[in-house]
Amino acid sequence: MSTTLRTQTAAPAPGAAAPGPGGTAEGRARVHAALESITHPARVDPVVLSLGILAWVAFALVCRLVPDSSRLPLSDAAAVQAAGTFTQVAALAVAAAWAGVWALSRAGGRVGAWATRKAAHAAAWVLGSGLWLLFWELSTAKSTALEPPYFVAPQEILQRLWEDRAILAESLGNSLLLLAVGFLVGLVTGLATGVLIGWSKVANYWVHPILMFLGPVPSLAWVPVAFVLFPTAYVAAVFMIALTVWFPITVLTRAGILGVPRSYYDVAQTLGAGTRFLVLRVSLPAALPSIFTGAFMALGASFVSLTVAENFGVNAGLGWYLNWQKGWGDFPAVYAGIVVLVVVCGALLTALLRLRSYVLRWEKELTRW
Amino acid sequence: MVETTTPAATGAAVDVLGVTQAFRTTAGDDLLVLDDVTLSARPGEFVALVGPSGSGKSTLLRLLAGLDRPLFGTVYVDGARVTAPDPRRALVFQDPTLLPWRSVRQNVAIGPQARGTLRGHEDRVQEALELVNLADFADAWPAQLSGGMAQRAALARALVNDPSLFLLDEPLGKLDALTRRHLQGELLSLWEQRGFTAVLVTHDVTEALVLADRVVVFSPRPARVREVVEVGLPRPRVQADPAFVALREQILAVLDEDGAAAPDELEDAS
Repeated sequence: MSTTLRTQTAAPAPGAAAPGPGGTAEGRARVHAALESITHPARVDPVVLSLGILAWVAFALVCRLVPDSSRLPLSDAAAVQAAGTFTQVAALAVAAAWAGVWALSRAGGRVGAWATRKAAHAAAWVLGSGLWLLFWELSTAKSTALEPPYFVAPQEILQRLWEDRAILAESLGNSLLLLAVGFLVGLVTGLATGVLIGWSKVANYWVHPILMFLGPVPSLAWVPVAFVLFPTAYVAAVFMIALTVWFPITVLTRAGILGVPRSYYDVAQTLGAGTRFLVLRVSLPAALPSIFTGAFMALGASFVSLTVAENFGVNAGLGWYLNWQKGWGDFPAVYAGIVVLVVVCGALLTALLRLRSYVLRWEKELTRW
Repeated sequence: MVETTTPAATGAAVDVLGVTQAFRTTAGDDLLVLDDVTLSARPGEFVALVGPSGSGKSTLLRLLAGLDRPLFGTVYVDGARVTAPDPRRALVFQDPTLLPWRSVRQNVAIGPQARGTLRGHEDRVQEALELVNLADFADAWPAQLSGGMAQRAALARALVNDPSLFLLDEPLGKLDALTRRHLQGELLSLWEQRGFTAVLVTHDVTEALVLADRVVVFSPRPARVREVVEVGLPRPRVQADPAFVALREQILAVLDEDGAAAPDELEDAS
């Protein structure tokens, strides 16, 4: 491998440093090409992505052309028929969207680079989800190999999502409101308790044992007491959610604060910091990585408490909707409710992780000077 | 008072009188660290403390900063008894201990912010950053800085408070030899410009002799003042100067006599 530049100029004078590749435009181009070859830029796998797009098209065609099983109950068949056109159009739209992204990835510039990244990353998922939908459709509506009423076709869930959109939206709103209130109460009290027992030995002496014994009790166990002790079922539900949030937030705030290096306090103190500064601007920020771990655990636990509380006493929200529809034996509706829950819980968790990586951006391994 | 031609702060007078400090170990034993230590520094003087590791030099610095209180004896700075930390007495550690969630500028601004004087004094933060040549990296995160840059940021953070006493706990101990040489020069020029009193703890006898007016040699733990060496050589000091070499040999001989000085630490000279 030659590292010399193909220039026609005379050799450098003896003793002078040979010019590196950074010295000329040609040299920089060579560096760029060498980097390009070792950094493995994203590439779209044409076989996987074309099979994936074909799978989605095949799903739409199966929905359209293969007749429903004769053993499919009438109500289910009606739902499949009702959402049939929408399902086919949606599936074709997904296929078309990925075909479009693929086409865009052949363009240059930033749009092309963006499309290439997306298509390269998603190709396997496009194929996987298309195959899954084919299997799902064929095993339910088209053959009833998986038997109704417990197994339902994708069209039935879509049909129920649309039919129940008003009540689902209302339930979703109620759930989010209750979750927000409960989570906020738990977060604020958890932070306050964590800071208090992280800082005060007396507070730690009294509160830490209570924390360790009350915290791990599952929220379901509080149901018989909570709905009796509190003036309204709503307040009881807020209490149950707040308690499940309070516990991990408190434990991990305390742990985070106890883990703050003493030198941080020494430095701040010699620079003139008082207690207020030490608590709010040294302890809390230093404990944030740990607090976010607590918030992550708390969010997961709060979903459990939310659905539990909505099933007992609070007759509103997605948890209530699920139980109510189960009572009617309406499994497509139950699945529709679960779909909403899956999307909402996933979105909230993603939002928390995004917030975390923004707030803790100083923690990332950054380019060193 | 030392006459300086610079407009900066005047150095503080330091008096340590009969200070004894001890700790209780986790095993429950009493550990005597400083045994009746008496020393002083004139305003604007540069004093270096050398001694075997674990001999209590850093403990003395913490007492001077007001982070700890002595068991017996008294620490005076400018005639006032030291009982608590004070921003006029700056402490710089071996680790830069920058708060990692604050940018370099925000770290330097901690002092003014903590005392509620930041508003209207942002220029002082900028000035401190420029003084240590970090103005271009003001918005970097501490994790992005090299060791030498981080230590310069720590110096700027201490300087922004315009200290009259600068306590330096092996501030260059973890840096590579080249960076250490550069920073020794910067430290010296800051001291000459600002006129503060400096107390430097170091393992490195050469560093002590390059920087200090006076070198105080500590015995192994429990630390007593073993010897005080007036350097009295003009600055910038030349390490090959026979007088410099003689002083170095003299201090090393004292440390060797005590037998506790780890050879690798003494060979650490830059």
